[in-house]
Formats: sequence, C-alpha cells, structure tokens
Amino acid sequence: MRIGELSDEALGTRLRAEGLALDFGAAHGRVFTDVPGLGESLRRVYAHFPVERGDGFFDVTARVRRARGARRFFRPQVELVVDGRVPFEPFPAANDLPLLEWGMNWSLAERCNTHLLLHAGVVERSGVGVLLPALPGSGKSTLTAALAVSGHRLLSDEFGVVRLDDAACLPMLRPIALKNESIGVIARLRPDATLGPVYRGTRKGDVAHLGPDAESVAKRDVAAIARFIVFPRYEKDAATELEPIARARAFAKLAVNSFNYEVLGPAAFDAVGRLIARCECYRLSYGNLVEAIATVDDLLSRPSGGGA
Amino acid sequence: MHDAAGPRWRLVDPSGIRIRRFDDEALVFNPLTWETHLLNDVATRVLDAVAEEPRTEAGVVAELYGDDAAESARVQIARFLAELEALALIERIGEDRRAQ
Repeated sequence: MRIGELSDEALGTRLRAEGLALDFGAAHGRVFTDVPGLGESLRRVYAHFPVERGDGFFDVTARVRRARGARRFFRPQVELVVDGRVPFEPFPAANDLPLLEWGMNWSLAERCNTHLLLHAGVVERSGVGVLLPALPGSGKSTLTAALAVSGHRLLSDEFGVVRLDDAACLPMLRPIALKNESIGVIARLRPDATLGPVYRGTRKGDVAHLGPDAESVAKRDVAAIARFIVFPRYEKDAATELEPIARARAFAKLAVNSFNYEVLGPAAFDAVGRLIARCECYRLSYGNLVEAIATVDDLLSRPSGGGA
Repeated sequence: MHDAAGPRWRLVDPSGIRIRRFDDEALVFNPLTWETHLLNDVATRVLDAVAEEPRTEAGVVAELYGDDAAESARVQIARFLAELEALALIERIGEDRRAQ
C-alpha cells in the first residue's frame, strides 16, 4: 500500500501514534503531527511512497505541533521538533509543510555523514546520471523538477548523495520545494505533476512541493552512476549556453557546494576525485526551461558520454 | 648565480598528502589542515619535484627548466615555494635551515 492510498483514519492514526515512516532511499524519516490539514498535504506529496512500519531506526524524526501561548488564538503558529530539538522559530500555521520539509532537510544535512552530501540535484535516464550542483537561487530546483517531469528519474534535489567507496549517486528522494514563478512553470510544463498546496508568503516566498513520481519512488534504492556534472545558472531571458568546465575547476566547485566535504576530509577528496574522473563537466546558462531540458537530453544522447 | 647550498624543501606529510591531476591542473588535499587546494601546472610540478626528493630552490628550477633557466624562472619558483609553504604543504629541512 502507498501513502496516497491511506484512509484519513489510517493516516491520522499513524501521524498521531506510531509516526508516518518515509523511506527516502539513502535515509529514513518519521513524521508525527496533530496539526489539522498537514496529513492531507503529506498524502499528496508523498503519495507514491510505500506505507512502512513506524518502529525501528530513523535518521530523522520530526514532529510538527501547534505552538502554545496566547498568540495561538489570533494568529496560530506551528513549531517543529526535530530529533528532540526545536531548531527554528514557529511558523504561521498555514506554512506547516514547508516548515516540516526544511526541518527534515536541516537534520539530514547534519546527520548523514556516511555519504558525501552535495548541494545538488540528481536525475538519471537510461542508466546515465546527471549531477546538477548549484548554490541556492541558481535555478537548480526548477531544472531538476523540469527534468523529473520530463522522463528522467529523480534521485534528489536538495542532496546529491555520493557514496564514498565508489562515488555512485544514491537517491535521497524528497519532494522538491519549488518557489515563486517556478511553481507555475512546472505546472504548465506537466499539468498532471504531483504538486502539493501552494504556501503563500513563506520566508522564501511562495512555495509548493513537487512529489516524486511512482517510478522514482520504486527505484529509491537504486544508485546511479553520474557521467555528467552540469552547473546550472538561470538568468531571465538568457540564451541557452553549455560550456565545458575544466575538471579541476569542477572539483573545486563541488567541494564548495558540499554540506560535509570538510567533515569527511580525505574520504570526500577521494570520492569527488572518482566522481569527476568519470564525468564531463559543464556550465549551463539558461533562461528558457524547455531549451535547458533539451540541452541536457542532448548531452545524454551522445553515444560516448562520460569522462576518462 | 643560483644558491645550490640554500635550504632544501620537502613535503610536510608525504604519506598523507593526496594529489589528483586533471589535465594541466591538480587538486591537493593537505592531511594536516584537511584543506583542498587547486594548483596550476607549475605549482603542481614544483610539488611533484619536491615530493620526488628534497630539493633546493635551484634544484627545483633545474628540474623544471634545466640548468640554464632564466632569472624570471627562478623568481617564479621562489614564489611558488613560498606559497606552498604558506599552505603547509612543504617545509624547509631543519639541517639546511641551520646551515643558512
């Protein structure tokens, strides 16, 4: 059974009692909440994830609850307890899912040091992986989402998870947080995409989450070998341009875009070295998403893609 | 005239250092600081020369450019040796420092 098929009662019971277990692939999470409406949002964006038992080990355990205090009567808020800590100030109650998702990402970034975590999207098609590393604001999530709704398997958006011993990319399958104009762009590109509610006026503007599709969820335990590293850069009205980047420069950029490169030290250095050695590296400037998708597709269609 | 008797240079941690070459550049992991440095071709060749065996500045110049290297080459190598020392990748050998 999938989470999208749970009845209101079954979903509510899990969220209030044993927890809603979420298998992201490289990590496992568990969610508790008694906030009205949040369960329905979770059911939408995690629709294709399997229903699993709420006991056992979880990398992150998060609880969203109604904030206490007099404020709750005129401007209700919710707060997040993640792994026993309250990392953020309360959010308006209407922004419960963004709070939960950001909190889980925050915890995963702190916890998951078994693997190298890059700030990167990862997609795969026909067995060829593409890593899309970028700093926030560069259009990474939009491009990753666009590829995911255009026939590519989604492995991750926020975390490019690289296994240390062989530099394979592991799925860390989470909903993609789309912001502002990107929400409409993805909705128009794929009207039947699994988009959650639009949350207005969050700290990052309007946010909606793209739920991973069924095939990506089914393959959440299947690693991908990246053959291309593409650093995306969105600029309004920019021409689509794909430029090669020297591998050493790409290495340095990856290290900067990592959550835990400095923590892992020599193991991270070796993993990035292995990853870069088998990849062609590019910078992709784009202003037109359809052209950007076509450019990535064209890369993947090359008969001998891959590095040394 | 090169000072062949000047201090000799060596790697600070030859067993721990990691060097990964890509085309004409290299990434170097310093096992002491856990920092990664991007080196250009000349800096990498300087590091390689010192890694092969402890060398004086003149020895590094000779290894990279031959015995008839121009003064500008010596100045360049001196600068790279100083930069690699500042990154704690290479150091002067103590006995030679005492001989200065």
